[in-house]
Order: sequence, then structure tokens, then C-alpha cells
Amino acid sequence: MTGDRSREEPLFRPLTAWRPKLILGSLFTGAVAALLFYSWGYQIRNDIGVAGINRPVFWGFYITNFVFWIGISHAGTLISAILRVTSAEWRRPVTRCAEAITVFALLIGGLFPLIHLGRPWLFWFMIPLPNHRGLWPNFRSPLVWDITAIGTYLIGSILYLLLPLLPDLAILRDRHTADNPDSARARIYRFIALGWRGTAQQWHSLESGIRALAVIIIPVAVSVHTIVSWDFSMTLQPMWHSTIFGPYFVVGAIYSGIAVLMVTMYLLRRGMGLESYLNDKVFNNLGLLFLAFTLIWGYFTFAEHLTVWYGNEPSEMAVFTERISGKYARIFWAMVLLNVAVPVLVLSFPRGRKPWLTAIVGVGVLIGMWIERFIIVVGTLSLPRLDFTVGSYQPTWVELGILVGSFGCFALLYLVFVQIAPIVSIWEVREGDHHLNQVHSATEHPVLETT
Amino acid sequence: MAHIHVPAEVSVCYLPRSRKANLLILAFIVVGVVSFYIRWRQDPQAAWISYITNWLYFTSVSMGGLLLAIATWITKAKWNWSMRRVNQSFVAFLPLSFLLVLPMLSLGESYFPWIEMMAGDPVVQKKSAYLNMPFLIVRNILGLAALFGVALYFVYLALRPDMGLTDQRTEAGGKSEEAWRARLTRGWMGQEKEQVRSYKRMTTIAPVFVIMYAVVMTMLSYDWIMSLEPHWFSTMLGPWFFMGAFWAGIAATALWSMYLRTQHEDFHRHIGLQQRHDIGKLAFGFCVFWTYLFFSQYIVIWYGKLPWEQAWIVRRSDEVWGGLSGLVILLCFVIPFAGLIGRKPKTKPVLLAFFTSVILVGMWLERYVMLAPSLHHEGDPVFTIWQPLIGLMFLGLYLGSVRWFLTTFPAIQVWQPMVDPETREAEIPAGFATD
Amino acid sequence: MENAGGLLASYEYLDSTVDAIKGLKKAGFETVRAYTPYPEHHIEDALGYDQSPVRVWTLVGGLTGTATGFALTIWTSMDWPLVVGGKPMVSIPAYIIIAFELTILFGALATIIGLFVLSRLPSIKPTVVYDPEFSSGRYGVYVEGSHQRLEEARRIMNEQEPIELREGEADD
Repeated sequence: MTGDRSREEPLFRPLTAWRPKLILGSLFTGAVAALLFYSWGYQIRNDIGVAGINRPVFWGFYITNFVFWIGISHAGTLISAILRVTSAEWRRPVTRCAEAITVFALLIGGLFPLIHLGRPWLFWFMIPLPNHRGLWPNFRSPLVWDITAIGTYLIGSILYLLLPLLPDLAILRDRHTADNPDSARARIYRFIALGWRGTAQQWHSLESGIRALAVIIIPVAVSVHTIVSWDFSMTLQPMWHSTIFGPYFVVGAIYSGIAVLMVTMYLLRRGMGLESYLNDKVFNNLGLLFLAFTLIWGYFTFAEHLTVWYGNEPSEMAVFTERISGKYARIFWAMVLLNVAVPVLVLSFPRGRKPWLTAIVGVGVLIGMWIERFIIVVGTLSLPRLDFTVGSYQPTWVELGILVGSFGCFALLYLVFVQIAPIVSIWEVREGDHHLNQVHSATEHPVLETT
Repeated sequence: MAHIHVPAEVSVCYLPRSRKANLLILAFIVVGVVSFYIRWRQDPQAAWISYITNWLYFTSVSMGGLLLAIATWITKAKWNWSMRRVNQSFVAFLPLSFLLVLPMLSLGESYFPWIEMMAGDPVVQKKSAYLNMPFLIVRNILGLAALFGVALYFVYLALRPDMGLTDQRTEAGGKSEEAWRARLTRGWMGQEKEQVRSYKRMTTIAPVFVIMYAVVMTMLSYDWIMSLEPHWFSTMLGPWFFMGAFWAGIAATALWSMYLRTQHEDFHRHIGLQQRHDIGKLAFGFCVFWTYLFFSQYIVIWYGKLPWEQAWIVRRSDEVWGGLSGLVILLCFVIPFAGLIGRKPKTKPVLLAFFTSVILVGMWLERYVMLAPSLHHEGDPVFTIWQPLIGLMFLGLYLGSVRWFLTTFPAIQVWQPMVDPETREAEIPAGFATD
Repeated sequence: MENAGGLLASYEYLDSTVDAIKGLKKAGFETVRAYTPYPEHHIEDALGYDQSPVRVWTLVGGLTGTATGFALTIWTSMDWPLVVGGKPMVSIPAYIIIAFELTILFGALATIIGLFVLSRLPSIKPTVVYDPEFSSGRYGVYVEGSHQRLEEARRIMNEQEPIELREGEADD
């Protein structure tokens, strides 16, 4: 038989019975999530004026959060797709929990433009629906690109999460059916496993399908954050109109994505006893990837600022100086510290790539990346080209509540998911074990060597 | 999925020497030098444009190839075990490249437009902190010396353990080979120790090289391309430039590998389906990536419609230069994208060689279109035969140095350090530890 | 098929499964199906599977998406001509983005549809030709044929010492 099945037990535990720890966690995060909806409801009732955004800083926390959460969503799909396409063996325990991050972060990120709309029910204006006024969306607008790209990415990511999940749902179906064929869980899994039987034909198509999706999801993930960056760079605002913004945002997105992945993986490992899956080697490898993105992100930030300094345009230099040595200098240098200095110092050494250390670095990078987006959004808007409109921005409790609530939402969705689906792809890990087994026993079974 | 099989005993093979090839290369260099001289007498600026674009191009190709060697080292890739040395061999061009850049630094007012503009143009005056001759000379010399130095050291480390393994090779080595062996085995500590040392040091300096590559190549693109239109700046230019260089290096690696396959039985066997497929995938992937970078720069400028900014694009897409720019898109995107999308062209040597050649020609033109229009005088032809003729000098030097490397040192790395005992153990999950 | 039936064997080892499939194929059985707990290339090779046609679905879907993207953007801007931001009526650079996104969207959806069609999903109805053990480690081989021929199949399958061998016919 294949492998050691006792190590799978921690994966099945939350799926076979109610775990008090998870229930309590869900209740708590649910309460935090409620904060978002309460604050949003308050804003809808009392109008957008309750938020701190005002002339000329029309984009505040909401757009910062939007960019931040969409960035986080690059953790999963992109990393998992890259690892799949390059057939990295150690990806197997990581892909599922990464892909789930993508879907949930996207759902939350996509919420923020709606919150920012003020009148969210008018959002259908963005969708090309035939209407009695005969008007169509302006396809030259980055905002319409946004909705197309994020919509595509969301659908693609959901498919990309669910497709490799299908055989695992069949495993759960068979397991629950064996225990008690009439239980509610057995019925539900029978239904959502869609009748997956694991025939060679099905596997053959599934593998091909996953591979095709992995290949096409990479460019779409890249395009999503590129287009988000174009919301900024298509304008002529100082330090927004920058050609590098596309890749710069993408790199930042992946960077914050890896950070959230590290933190999530660490919590899963601790909370669910998954040490044998999310082992030190996985953290070490992801830590190296994390380090690589630290350097790439550092380079892009450097190139962006070097070029502005080289270009030396007066209004850009005004924003530039505010960042380097003015009003935003304190948080700017905090960002440099959290996003470059600390990760490089810690992750460069094998001892620094221990799970708990990478998780701590991850939290730091998350804060740093949030600051980066905040500086880009608010730093520029408070210093527009026409200097008689110089203004400042103070968030209100509504915006803070929504920010905090969004983290609650994310955690809640994740905790619920953990109780529905195995957070490590069981069949993929078994497949990996099986490959290793074959390598070990190739000499005993000569038939395997012929092909 | 694919488990790459690296043979335990890699056979030692060299690129066979060839008098014919040497003569051809010599002819290239002579024609190139003579052409440069003739052109220089006619129109010094045009001659220098050709010189500099070709220098940028061949330096890009060499650096790109080395970046591939180093990037695959960082990611512990195994598939390219038989191509590592091909990447490393590009290092042989770097000393020449360093010598060739020196005359470029002696150019003055007649070449760099910003020197003259500095007198009366307030926009350019603001950039004087960066745009001044002493700083230009210092940063180019120091930057290139540091970057090339790290690259040479990396390849030195990669070569050293091979020297111990090729000691008892049967064919008699030439004099220069023995001299190189003596030079490379100075302070020899024994095979095992050498391998461990090389492995550790290479792993340490690899990320340093990557960072330096990005910074120095960005600097090259600013100094030799962006500053020629002193009002224009684009944050994307650096990444666009060095990612293109990386792509050209990948394409050149593929082309060299396909050439080696025809030269020796061992190459034919070792540069197998897996290797071709993977390098083909890289060439295709970077085609998409190049297009992405190109498009993201283009659309931001197109959308912004800032006069000083779109001037750069407008100049390259008007009726004078538009044709050439279109050709670049055709050679760098349309043909390689459509050509390499399938599996067959990636794995069939002839097709792979053809499409990578298209990419290399496209990148050569791309470097030209990046630079030349900025210094173009109205009425002059956009492209003359002198451009490729002067390029022959660089081509000859590049081919000659790489060939020299591959004939002097084992053309497939004998020492394959890919079994990292630490990670092997960790790869086997609990429950399997013993068999 | 009239007067026909099926046999389902479960095996513990991969090589016996591969041998059983090879034997059945050699004997000329056409409907041979295998069950595995994870993708197994040796079995796919034994069954003679070529590259999966799923990728063709992806490609066709993607191209449809490209066409749709350009058609939608160009047609809607012609339908109500409105100059925005000094851009041309048909702003190809901007529409490339929409076309690109729809390429991926349609490609992804077509992949799923193709995958479901090819692997006959969903089929929630329970079937006799399945064993829950298949999802947890055992391999299965199912063969269909007339009754006389099934005796031959039984012999071939028994040669590889199955854990279990039972009769049953797939209803699809």
C-alpha cells in the first residue's frame, strides 16, 4: 500500500467531527467580520461623508485595502501555478492552502471598490449589459479593465481551487459513506464530489486540465495587478504616472502574497498539527522564494525612485521629498525596514528560515506592504499638481472598522473552508509519496523501468 | 512529474577545434574593424551608433546567458545540467566587452546630446547630478568591472572541480589547456573539498550577482539609451532592457546547444528531449514576458499622452522608423509566440534553432531601435549595411571567445553537484525514511 | 451490448494492475477501464492514452474569447460613438486588455467543460462498478465483453492475483 496513512489523520479530523477550537475560532472571527458589515451599513445609511476621504484625497483606506487584498490574492494561484508548471516536488502540501488564500482574498478585495462606490447598488453600470439608455461601459477606462480582469481571475481561481479538490472530495465521500452512508456529511460529499471515480480517463483529463489552467492562470494573475496599477499610472498624477508600475505592483503583490502564505501556513501547522506536511523544508524553500522577492521588490522600489530622481520633475520631486524626508518619511522608512532590512537579515540564513521566524517576518512584510500602498495612494493625492488643492487625510472609525473587519472576514472564510475541505491536497501528496516509493523499489519491480 | 536523470559519470567532452571556424571568425573581425574605420571616416556618429548598439547587444547576450546559469543555480534546477557550461562559456566575452566599452567612454559632446543641452536647457540642468561625464565614466567602469568580476569568479568556481575530474583524460591536451589547468588548480585542496567549497561559494554569490545584474544593466540602459533623449524618462526601461537581455541569453544558449549537438556525439545524446523542451519553454515564456513589459510601457505612455514622454514612442512609430519597429514586434513577439507555442517546435532541434535565431535577430534590432532613433538626423537612412557589418566585429569576437572557452574547458560540466545530501533527506517524508 | 457483462478486479500493486491491463489489451478487449488513487502514467501508457484533448478545448475557448473581446469592445464603441479622453473611437491598445482577459476567461471555462465532458462528470448516481477502496490506495480494472469472452478476461485478471474480483456492468 502507499505510504503512511496515520499522518493523514490531522487532515481528516476537522472534516469528520465538529472541533470546538475551530467553532470558537469561527465565532470570534465572525464577530470581527461583523465589524466590516456594521461599518459599511453605517456608511450606506449615513452616506460616504462618514469616511475621511475628501478633496483632494479621494482615495484613502478603501483603495489602499483594495490594492492590498488583491495583492494578497497573488499568494495562491500564482505561486501554486508556478510551482506546478515547474513541477517542484515540494509544492504538494502547499498548493491547496495557497489557492484558498487567493479565492478569499479576492472576494474581500473585490468588495472594496463597492464599499468605495458609496452607492454600491449602481455597480452594474460597469458590466456590459444592454440597457434602455443604450449606453455601454467605457472600455478605455482602467476601471472597466479592472472589473474584467478581477472577474476573470476570480472565476479562474475558483476553478483552479476546485478542480484539484474534486478527487479529495471523493476520498471524503468514500470515507464518510463507509462510516455511515446516511449521515449528512456522506450525503453532502456524495453530491459535491460530482461522482468522481478516479478512472484513468478522468485522471488523464484532470491532469491535463489542471496543467492548462495553471499555464493560463499565470498571465491572468500578472495582468490583474498590472491593471490595478494602471488605475494609478494611467493618470498624470505625480509618481503615479510611471511605466514600471505594472511589474512593480505585481512583484509587490506576490511579495505580500508569500508573506500571508507564510503566516497562514504557520498557523495551520500549529493549529492543526500538520508538522509532517508543512515541514521545515517547505518553510525553508518558501523562505528562499520570499527572500528572492524581497530583493526583487527592493530593486523595483529602487528603480522607481532612482528614475524619479533622475527625471527630476518638480511636482514629482515634491511627492518624492515628502516620502523620503517629509510627512511620510517615518512610515516610508518603516516600510524599508520591514520590507527590505529585516527580511534580508533574517531570511539570508538557514536558521532564519525556521517556520516561526518566517511567520514573524511575514507579518512585518504585510504591514510594510500595506504602508507602501498607503503611501502611493495618499502620498500622491495629498500633493496633486495644482498646489492650491494640497490636502491631508485622516481615516475615521468607519474606515478603520472596515479594515479590521476585512481581516476577520478573511479568517472566517478560511476557517470555514478548513472544515469543508482538506487543507492539504491528499491525492497529490499520496502521488508524491508513491513516486518516491517507486524510486525506492524500482529494482524490485522491473516492470516500472520499461517505460 | 519529470525526474531528471543526471548520469553519475558525465563523459568529458570538448567542442572540437576547427581551423575553418577560426578563419571565418577572423574574417568577421577583420571585416568588422575595417567597416568601422571606413564608416568612422564618413560619419563618426553613425559609426559609434553601430558600435554601441552592437556592444550593448553582445554584452546583453553574454550577461543574459550567465544570468541563466546563475538563476538555475539558485533554483537548484537539474534539467539544464548538460547546458550549464554553455551558459558559463559566455563569460569569455566579458573581458573583451570590458575593453570595448573603454573607447565608448571617451566620446564627448559630439555623441551625447545632453552635454550641449546642459548649457541652456533647465530640464536637463536639473539632471546634472546624474548626467555628467566624470560620473558616467566612473559608474560604467566600476559597475562593469564589479559585475564582470563576479561573473568571472562564479565561472572560475564552477570550473575548478572539473579540473580534478578531467586530469586523466586520454586525449593529449594542448599547451594552453595545460596552462589553464595549472592556473585553475592553484592551491588545490582535493576533489571533495573543492566541490564543497565551490558549491557553497557559488550559492552565496549567486544572489549577489542577480542584484548586481539588475542594477548595472539598468544603469547601462539609462546611460546608453535613455540619456540620449534627455527629456524623456521611463521607469520601465531598465527592467525591459535587462529582461530582454536575459531572453537573448536564453535564446543564444538554445542556439549554441543545438549547434553543439551537431558537433559531437555526447552533446547529441545529452542535450535531449527534456533539455530542449525546457529551454524552449523558457524561450517561449520570455517571449510572453517581453511582450508584457513592452506593452505595459507602451500603454502607459499612450494613455498619458504627455508630449515629452510620448515623443520617444512617436519617433519610433512614425513613417520613418515605424517599419523597423513593426519588424521588431514581428520578430520578438508574433513569430516566436506563434512558432514556439506548441510542443513540437520546442523539441525539434531544427525548429528550435530557427525560432531562437529569429529571437536573436529581433533582439538585435530591438537594441538598435531603442538607441538609434534618438540620435537620428532627418533625412538619413534609418538602416544601413554598416550596422551589420560593424556588428561582424563583435560577432566574431563573441563567437571566437565562446568557442575558445568550449574547446579549452569541458563543454559539459563534469562535476554535477546536484545531490545535496541535506535536502535529499528532507524530501523523503516521514514514514518512508527507511526502505 | 446484449448478452454481455463486466468484471471488476481490485489490485494491491501497480505492476499487477499494469500487467492485467496489458494482458486484456493484448487479448483484444476494447472496453478496459482502470481506477487509480492518483494519476498513474504507467497505467495510462498501458491503456494507450495519448495526449489528452483537454488542451484543444482550452485553445478553442481561448480563441473564441479573443474574438469576443475585440468584437464586444469595438461594436459597443461604434454603437454609441463617444470620444473619451482624446482617444480614438476604436482604441486597440485598450481593447487588447479586454480581449486578453476574455481569452483567459473563455479558455478556463472551456477547459472545465471539456474536462467534464471527457471524464463524464458529473455522474452522481451510484454505480456498482466502483469500490470505495479505489480512492484510498487500491487499483481497479474493469473490463466489458460478451459472456464467453469474459471467461478469458477472468483468467487474465486472476493471473495477477486480485484482492477481489466481481461481476457487474457499468450502466453508462
